[in-house]
Amino acid sequence: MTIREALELDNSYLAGKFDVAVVGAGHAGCEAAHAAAKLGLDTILFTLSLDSLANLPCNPSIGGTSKGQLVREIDALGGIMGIMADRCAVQMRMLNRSKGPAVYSPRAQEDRSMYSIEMRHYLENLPNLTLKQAHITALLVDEDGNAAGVMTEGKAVYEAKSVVICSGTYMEARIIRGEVITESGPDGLPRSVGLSSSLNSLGVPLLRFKTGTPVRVNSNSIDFSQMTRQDGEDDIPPFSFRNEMEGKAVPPAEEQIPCWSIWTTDETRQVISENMHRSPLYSGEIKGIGPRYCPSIEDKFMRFKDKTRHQIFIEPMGRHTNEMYIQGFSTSLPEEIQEKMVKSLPGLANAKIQRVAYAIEYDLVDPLSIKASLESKIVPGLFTAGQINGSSGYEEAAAQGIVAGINAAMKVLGKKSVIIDRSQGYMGVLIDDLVTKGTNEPYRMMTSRAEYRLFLRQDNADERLTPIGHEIGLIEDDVFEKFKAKIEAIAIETERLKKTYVAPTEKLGELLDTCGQTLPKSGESLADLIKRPGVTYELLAPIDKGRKPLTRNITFACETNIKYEGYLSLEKEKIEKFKNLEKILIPEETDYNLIKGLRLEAMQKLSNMKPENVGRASRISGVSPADCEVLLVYLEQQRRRHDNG
Amino acid sequence: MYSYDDEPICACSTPAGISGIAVIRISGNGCGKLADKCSVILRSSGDYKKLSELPGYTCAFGYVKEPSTDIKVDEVIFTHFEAPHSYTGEEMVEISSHGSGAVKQEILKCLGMSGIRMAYPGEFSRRAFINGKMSLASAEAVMDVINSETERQLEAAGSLMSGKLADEINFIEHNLYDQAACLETFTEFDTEDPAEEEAKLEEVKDNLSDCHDRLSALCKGYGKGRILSERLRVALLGLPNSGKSTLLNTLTGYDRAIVTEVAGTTRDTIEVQININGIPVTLIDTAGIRETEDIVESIGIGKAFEAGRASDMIFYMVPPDMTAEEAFTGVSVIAEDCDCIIAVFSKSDAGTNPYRSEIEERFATIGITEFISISAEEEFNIDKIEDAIIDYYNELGGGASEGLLITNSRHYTKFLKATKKLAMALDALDNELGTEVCASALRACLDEIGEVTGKTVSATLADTIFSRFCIGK
Repeated sequence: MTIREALELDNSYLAGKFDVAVVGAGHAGCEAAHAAAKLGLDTILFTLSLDSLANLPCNPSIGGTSKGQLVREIDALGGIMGIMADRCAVQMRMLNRSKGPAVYSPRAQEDRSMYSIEMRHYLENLPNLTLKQAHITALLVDEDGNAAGVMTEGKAVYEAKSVVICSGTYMEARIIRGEVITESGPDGLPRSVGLSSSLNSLGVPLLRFKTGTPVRVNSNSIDFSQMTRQDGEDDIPPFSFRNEMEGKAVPPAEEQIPCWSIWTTDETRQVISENMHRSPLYSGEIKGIGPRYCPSIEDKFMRFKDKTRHQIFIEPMGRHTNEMYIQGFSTSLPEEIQEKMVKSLPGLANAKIQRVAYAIEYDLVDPLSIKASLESKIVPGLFTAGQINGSSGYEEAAAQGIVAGINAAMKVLGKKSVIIDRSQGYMGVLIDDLVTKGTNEPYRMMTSRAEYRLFLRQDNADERLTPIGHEIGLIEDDVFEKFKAKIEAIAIETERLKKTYVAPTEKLGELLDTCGQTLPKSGESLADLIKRPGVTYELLAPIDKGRKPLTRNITFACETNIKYEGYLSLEKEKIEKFKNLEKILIPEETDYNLIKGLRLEAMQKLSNMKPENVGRASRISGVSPADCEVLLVYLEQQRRRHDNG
Repeated sequence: MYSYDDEPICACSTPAGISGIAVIRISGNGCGKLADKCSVILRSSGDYKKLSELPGYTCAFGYVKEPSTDIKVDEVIFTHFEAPHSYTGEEMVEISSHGSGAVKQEILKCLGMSGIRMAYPGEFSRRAFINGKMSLASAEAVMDVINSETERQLEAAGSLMSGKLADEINFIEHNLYDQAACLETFTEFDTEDPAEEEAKLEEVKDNLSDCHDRLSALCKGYGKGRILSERLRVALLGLPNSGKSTLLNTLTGYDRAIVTEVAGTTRDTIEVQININGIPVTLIDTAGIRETEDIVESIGIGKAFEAGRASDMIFYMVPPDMTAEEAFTGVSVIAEDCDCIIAVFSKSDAGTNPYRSEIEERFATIGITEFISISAEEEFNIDKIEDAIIDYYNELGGGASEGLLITNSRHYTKFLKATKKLAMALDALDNELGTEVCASALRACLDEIGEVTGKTVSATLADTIFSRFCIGK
């Protein structure tokens, strides 16, 4: 529908004109609106319910393996998720400590209500931003087919130069519990009706996915003595680099709320197997495709038949509620079965369920129809972010949100879009995977998806992204100055460690002995000592006289850079190669049918997807290395033809 | 790897094998300055002192030297081309040298030491094409070649390998992918059973080190594989009249065919190509050395040095009348440059060398421990000479079986890199740096292998395409 047509409808009216309209105020929408407003654009953020803004409808936790890295990246780029997560955390931990620093991942248990309240309050005070509770039912375009605004259920028409849609799991959503199916959004909220068909009528291809959430129980009804306690930690950095630089620490461990872990029992397995026929997933009622990496409990038992038990975590929902989230126990089985399943778990025999589990099905946009800037290839000026693009998870959504918000703003400002590539961040990997490979299930971030994992660490996200954030205007000058000072301190200290040689004294021998290392025959640099297994920066303190007091994040960075030097340089070599192909741009008007030598499949795929550069073309499934060579030769030939006039 | 870099490159442009002269081509802006390090100009029309100073399209007479030792390798003619007026459109140098394989190898080595890398197959043509020196019509023709290659796709990349070798590489690649997957699981998910994970990690380690051994074996086999394509070089050194020529004639004429016989490749040596037991051998006779009283000179140190250094093995002739001192002085000059020297007591029909035991003793001090007593005249022990050659060949590559020989130098380079990266992956596990660190090195290793098997995107078909214009063209 065009703006003109919308305004001709009975009872419709022009309600406002904005630079950027953001539809949906989940984690993607909040980041998008925040970024656009922060960049000085007149922005409006629509939500179905202001009371559920930035809701955590599933697990009230932020971060975790690879997701923690995403939160750090969002913060480094100038986003808000990290600041909010720090503010509302009830427990914080660093996962994967037994592994290497590349996969250290911060994770926080959040106070769900507080998170929503804090975020709303913050956005209410943000200059250039208008919050609006409304049900958006249509995307409007101008006469040329560019996104030009949105219309509410009440026929209020809002004009906007860019539109960002972050519809989460709301579009045409259905809630499924066994045989009971309700047309509803998640968590008892209304669903979004009409918007997806409006997108479809503009030619945007749609898909349908499903996801799910487990039951919540009242902690008064839980016998914690049968569970393993898991306490929080306080010797870890906050999510936000800005908090870290100001010396803000995470709350002391004793003020944090514990989580608990248990294992499913034989009875659980039995209840599930006896009732599998009532699962809508297996009866075929659910047609949406579910996430492989966050499966329902019945899925886990069905798919991993050799595993007789699965681990379950019991996690708090906040400081002002007794509600506990049963992580790893999501299901779409009927309510009466859920009751039996929960009661089969250790410590939950008398559990009082406050909210039942459900599966939810929703419409989304095929991510192959969007560009790396997250702008639609079909409707210029339309941006999408979050679950609408096929991802799963708050952090994945927020990461896309900030990129979509930035690029929606760039579009209005007439500037070049900002693209984070695969070597710069998990967010780059996430978006590149979605838009070049597509997905046939809700896409979850995983560290193994990143080919430069040693380089994409939570501790250096600022090094990778803060300069970009500062350049576009999301990072303030004073923050940037502090950042530069930190980087310089790391460089100076690393250099000092490389140049300072220590004699093979008895003292050094004793220190090295603690980690099974032998004393070198002659002097060795501190850096070479740190390279030895088990030797840390901390350990060498007694023999390192010239050491100046430095913060832990700086010494950690030095230690990591030194310890993994050889491996990091392998990755740097790979990044060089990768960047060479990313640099070779493919003109949008390229007619692949004219390229002799391309295989038919590659020709069709490339014509459909119109990749921005050869690197992206090479990652499209169905495009072989040989096809890329043909493309490279063709592009070079075109360039020369052009240069020679 | 596919990048339009303009690093200076070099390769021999004349066909492999022996010819009167050879042309070695160098291309890349700044290549003249790099080549200065290994060149000396003796005469040029404008009295230029350095190769890089020569104006475009002019020649100079001079020689190629080893940059670190300044030792003269060969007298040559240099031709300089300035960009863009050259075949590739870049600054170029052409070196016309003598045509023996040894000389060509030495010159390329000196260029390498000066910072000029070996060209990939077809790289000169690719540069010519990219720099607009090839007409569009030729470019279209190139596209046609690519077109036909594309049909064969990955097979094209693997066509240099087949049978057992391909099987072996596939096995290694698959196994490594399996281990990579396993490492990813450990990295990604928290274990529910630490003991089980530890056992599995041990298994990964075993598999990785097995693959490492296999890759190393493949790399070692390249030494042997190279000989299959480039021949085994065997030099006969010694005084005139020490029995070299008779031995040469016996070896070449003794019920086997002479493949070719070209004289005067380095003016003072004769190279004869024969097959011994199916092993392609080039016999090098340092003939024509003038007679003189000076023993060192008469052995022709210069030539001996040159031929010896480029040889895989040397037969050093010791006639009956040679003293221990004479024999030792002669052999010690070349002893360091060849790791397989066999002393041959020649003309045994004319008597036994009275100093034999002393000679054997002194030779042993410089690592020469094999001695054969022959009479070429009476064809006595000639089979021992042949056996020595066969043994040497068989021991190359750690006895790798014939089907598992890498003969392509690009493959060799890739596997060598893959082996190093795999060693790093193993180190990461041994030093408990974390499974993700191991996985990172393993992925880098797989990328290298993928460039041979065609699985890595950067494995460039264009390289295979342009490789049709063999190296240096």
